[in-house]
Amino acid sequence: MSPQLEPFNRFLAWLDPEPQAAGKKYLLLYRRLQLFFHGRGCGVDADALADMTVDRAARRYAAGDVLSSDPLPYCLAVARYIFLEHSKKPKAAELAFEPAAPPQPDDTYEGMSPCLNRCLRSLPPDDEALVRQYYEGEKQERIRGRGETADRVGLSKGGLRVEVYRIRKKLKTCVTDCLQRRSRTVTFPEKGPHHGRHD
Amino acid sequence: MNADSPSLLLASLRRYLLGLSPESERDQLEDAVFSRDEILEQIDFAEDDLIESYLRGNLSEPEVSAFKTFFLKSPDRRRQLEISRAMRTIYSLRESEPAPSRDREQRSIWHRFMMPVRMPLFPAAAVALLLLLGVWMGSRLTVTTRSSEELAGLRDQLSRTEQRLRREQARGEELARETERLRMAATTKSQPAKTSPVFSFLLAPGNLRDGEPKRLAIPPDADRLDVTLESDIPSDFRKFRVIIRRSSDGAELWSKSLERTAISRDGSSITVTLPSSILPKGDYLLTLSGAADGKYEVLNDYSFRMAGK
Repeated sequence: MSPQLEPFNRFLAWLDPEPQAAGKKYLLLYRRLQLFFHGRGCGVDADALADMTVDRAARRYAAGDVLSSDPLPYCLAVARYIFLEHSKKPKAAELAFEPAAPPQPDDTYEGMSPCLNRCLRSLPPDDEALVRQYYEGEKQERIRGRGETADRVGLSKGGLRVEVYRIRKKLKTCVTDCLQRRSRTVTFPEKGPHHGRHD
Repeated sequence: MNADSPSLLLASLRRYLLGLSPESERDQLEDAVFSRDEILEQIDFAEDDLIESYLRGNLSEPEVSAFKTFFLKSPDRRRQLEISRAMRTIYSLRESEPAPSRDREQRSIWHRFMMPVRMPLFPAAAVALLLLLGVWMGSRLTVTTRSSEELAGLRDQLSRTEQRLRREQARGEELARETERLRMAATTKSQPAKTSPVFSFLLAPGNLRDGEPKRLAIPPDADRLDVTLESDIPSDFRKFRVIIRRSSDGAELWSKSLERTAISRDGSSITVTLPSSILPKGDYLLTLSGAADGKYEVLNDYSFRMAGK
């Protein structure tokens, strides 16, 4: 085991002795840390600060400096401390008012529509119909339409929102996976040497 | 943070996500985030709801400003916003097309059922279809007196029947191709003129049976192979590329560019013709890639084993 990995592995075992459960808990912890730093306005630095928190908490735990038995409140305390350090840096104040970065090419409509179209087609028919009715109902008559859609599918308006959210979440995962796969692009030389035959 | 009612919690989470919470509320929420798993799901929902509200123009002016300068600093949220925006664009474009009614859906299923009946060498499936439909229709006559449990059973039975028919249809299509191949082979034999016999086969993505690739044996006189590749082909893809590699060392043996015209009518497969001489006995990996905008993306990989001529 490398010296860098050892504290992290011990930290994972602290989250849960069972490795698979520890992995899941680690992802949830990371999401919590991202939320914490975004909630504090750290913006583009949020991921780096979340990494720093895990790193510091893991090293402290491996060194036997942690008295707490529960990793989550401990990590929150470390995150608060790291935020204080970060906010003392003059750069942090500038970042807090930095406008949002422009979307990456994959995050534009043109960039993601092939993936989105494919993911929409892979939705179960009931989910696809529900999303379609939701958006159509919205455009026709915002409140009344959605009420009618909710009635038609036998849900309350709140229930409909939750259902459509659930589908959008599924789509977001699908689109993100698809965009990652698309980044595994294949480049074909137009001319030049070719190992095999090309018809 | 007031979590007594879902709407108060949602309002509180919304302020938090926009960076508009008073310090005490923010601290309480942070404690909750680090102690309760279920709040993470509620935050995911609040993020989604906030994005939808922004796109619908339902945020106040200070909220819009906080949304742009605070909330959207996260790249994940920017992607989420673009996905929601793209969904609206797609559905607003589709709105001009008539939505498929249940009637049309049933008609299309009926057409799918009827397709194999029109195909040659398919009497068994046709009889099975009529028998199954008869059973189902018979059940339908007394359906009004059935309990809901029986109705669920019937729906289940119908769904199984549909699945069985689809399988039969696929088998029928394969039989029809085989017939066509035999017919062509017979024609070729009866014609002394020099022709190049074509052998057709179908590959499904992966195509590993019990960890072994699909085994293909081709007639000795087949010069060319028509390979139909099953794939869910995106409608916006215009160009395709097929590459065949030897499995043992990954060496590229052959490649070909294809246009949309090679795709089947229902968009579920694409056919490529290749010379049989490039495939001696051995294992191969075929990769199908496609591009909508010049960037090729791998759609599917297919494994097969040539058993030799």
